[in-house]
Amino acid sequence: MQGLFAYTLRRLLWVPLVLLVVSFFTFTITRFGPGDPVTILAGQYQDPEVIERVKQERGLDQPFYEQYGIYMKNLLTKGDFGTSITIQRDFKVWDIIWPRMLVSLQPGLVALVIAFPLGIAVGIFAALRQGTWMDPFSIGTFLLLQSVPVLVTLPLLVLIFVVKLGWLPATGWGGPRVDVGPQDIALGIFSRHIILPALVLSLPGVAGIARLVRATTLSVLGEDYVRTARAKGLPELTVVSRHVARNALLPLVTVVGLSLITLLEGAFFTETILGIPGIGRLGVEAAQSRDYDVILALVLILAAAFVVANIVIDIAYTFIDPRIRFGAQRSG
Amino acid sequence: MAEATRELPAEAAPGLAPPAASPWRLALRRLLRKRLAVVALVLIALFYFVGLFAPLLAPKDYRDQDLETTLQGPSLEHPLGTDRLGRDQLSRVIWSSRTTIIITVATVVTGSLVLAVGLGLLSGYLGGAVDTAIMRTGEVFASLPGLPMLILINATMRDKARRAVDWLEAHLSTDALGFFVLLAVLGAIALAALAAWLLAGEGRRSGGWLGLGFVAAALILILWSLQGVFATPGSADYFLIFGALSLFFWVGGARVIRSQVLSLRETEYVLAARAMGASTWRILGSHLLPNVSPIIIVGVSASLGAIAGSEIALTFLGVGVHDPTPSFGAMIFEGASQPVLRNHPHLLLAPAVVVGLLIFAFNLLGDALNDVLTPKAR
Repeated sequence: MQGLFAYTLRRLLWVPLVLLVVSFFTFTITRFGPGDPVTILAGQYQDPEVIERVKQERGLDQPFYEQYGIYMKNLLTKGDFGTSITIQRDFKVWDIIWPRMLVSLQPGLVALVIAFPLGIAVGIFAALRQGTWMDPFSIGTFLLLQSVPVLVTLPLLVLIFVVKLGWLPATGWGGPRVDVGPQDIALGIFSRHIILPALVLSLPGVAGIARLVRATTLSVLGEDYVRTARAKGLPELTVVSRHVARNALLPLVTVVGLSLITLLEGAFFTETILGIPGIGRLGVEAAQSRDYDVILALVLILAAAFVVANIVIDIAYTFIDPRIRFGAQRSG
Repeated sequence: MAEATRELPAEAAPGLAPPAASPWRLALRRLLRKRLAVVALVLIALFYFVGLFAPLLAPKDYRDQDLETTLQGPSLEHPLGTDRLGRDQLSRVIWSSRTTIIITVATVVTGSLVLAVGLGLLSGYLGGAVDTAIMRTGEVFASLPGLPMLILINATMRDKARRAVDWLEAHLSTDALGFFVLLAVLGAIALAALAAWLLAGEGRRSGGWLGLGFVAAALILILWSLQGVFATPGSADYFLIFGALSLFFWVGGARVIRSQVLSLRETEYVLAARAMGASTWRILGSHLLPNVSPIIIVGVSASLGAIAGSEIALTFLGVGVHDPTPSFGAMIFEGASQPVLRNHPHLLLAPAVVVGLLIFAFNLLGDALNDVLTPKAR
């Protein structure tokens, strides 16, 4: 496993470099883009002197590379993501992001818990029914759900379950509240508010999981040990659960990371449509009101999560399929 | 391609095709045998037809407001009803298709075709420092969180882009713009001729003019629709969106093409071409490009749905195309609010159904092309 260790190390060394580039890029476009938070905050009645003063107080009148230097120094030495200007004035950025992350996490986790068992079940079902109409039909149904964007399915579901049937509460977020430090958040996981976002986030992922499971199941079904298991008279259920499923599910590890990424992007729409106070909605608000430090912190955190998830996926691939040489395909 | 294959079968597809039919024709035949793929193709063709000819097909202008007939349900005069400003919903759907088409075509041409194919070929064939530079840059882009970055770029750079376009329009009279469009059309024809010549290789005698004409006609149509972009008030938004999307959509394609080129450049026919003194550009253009073109088509068709979805998503989040320029994203946003859903669900249904069907069709076609063009994957 010498190769794997070196490979992992090489990939991990890449992380800070990527984050440095990301932070610089983000910093540049926020600072050079027109419109600044102070002017936006001042609104209609702008007093140039006041705006100048506020900018001075916050160091926004400094040259941009000095601002970047100060920001990075505070971040690296004190773990300080800065201060919000327009979203929640004078709050520490981390205090704004942390509770919202915990809110966004709840539908995401429930979605994963729904998507994987459902995808596995559909995939194995389709593989066992290969050659009948049920195979393409079951996969196709979920493929349709995967193709249609969240921002189309979600309003339609709201129309049916909230407006027409009235089974689910009107949009919003609620549930028992817990204190998580800077402020308290609602545990929507214990209320009916979780149902719509979790459902909508989970459905697009099912098709990918189901197709992968179907493919691996089909290849496992052809193995000798499955024939042996059948030949010695084991009930079909045992054959599938013990001999087929166990070997067919290993490659799924690689999908977990990908699903996390999809969930993160989906959060932007579920939270905007349903009015959930999570990081997706925060991101849209921060970008629109140019809350520099909030944007920077969000992008950096998400980028870090992306990079790490991608590395974990790649390492998982090499574990599952040792034939993949660690980036050594150059020999031609 | 067909002629070339008949004369030099070994060059076009080593050992794959019987001499009678080119691999392309075989692939087309296999594609048309898939019922779902044909349905998807028809849907997409219909959508593009409607979008391209929106100025002729839409019963009303997308800006026409009638404040006396707001929020109406479907009627004979307004088959899909009217929105909160009394604008004809059907016309807005038709014009929105045009926005989607402009964004997908522009992003595919710049992001997928120029950037992905160009950089992928160069990176794979040249190797060394060029390869490292391109692939490391790609790696940085691939590790950026796509949607948040797109939101950020569009939210912050919008006024800049708008000012740039305003400057262009102020400094160039409409005549000059028309001249540029003419220039672009001529350039497109020249490019198409060049591409056809490169693709044909040496084996060509007479055939292929049909293909060339087809490519040229398609390009002219595309440019004609792009020329209309300048006339709409939101042109800066278009440039910003497809520019930002191209930045993020080239990496995947470039990687796949590079890895294919890595193995192709060691094949006998490339070695032979090099031994005969062919230039780098000739090898890239007439030996490698035709052999990676199936992957290019699969890649492009797979990304179409994502590109169309991205524009709609950005507009939905308020950082894409802005009112009054029509977009499905804005229509869905207006239709998705609770009070509207409660009282006027028709405002959501029309754009939602069109978008759902379109992106599903894109994905079906992408899947089918993947099956047809990369037989090893089956």
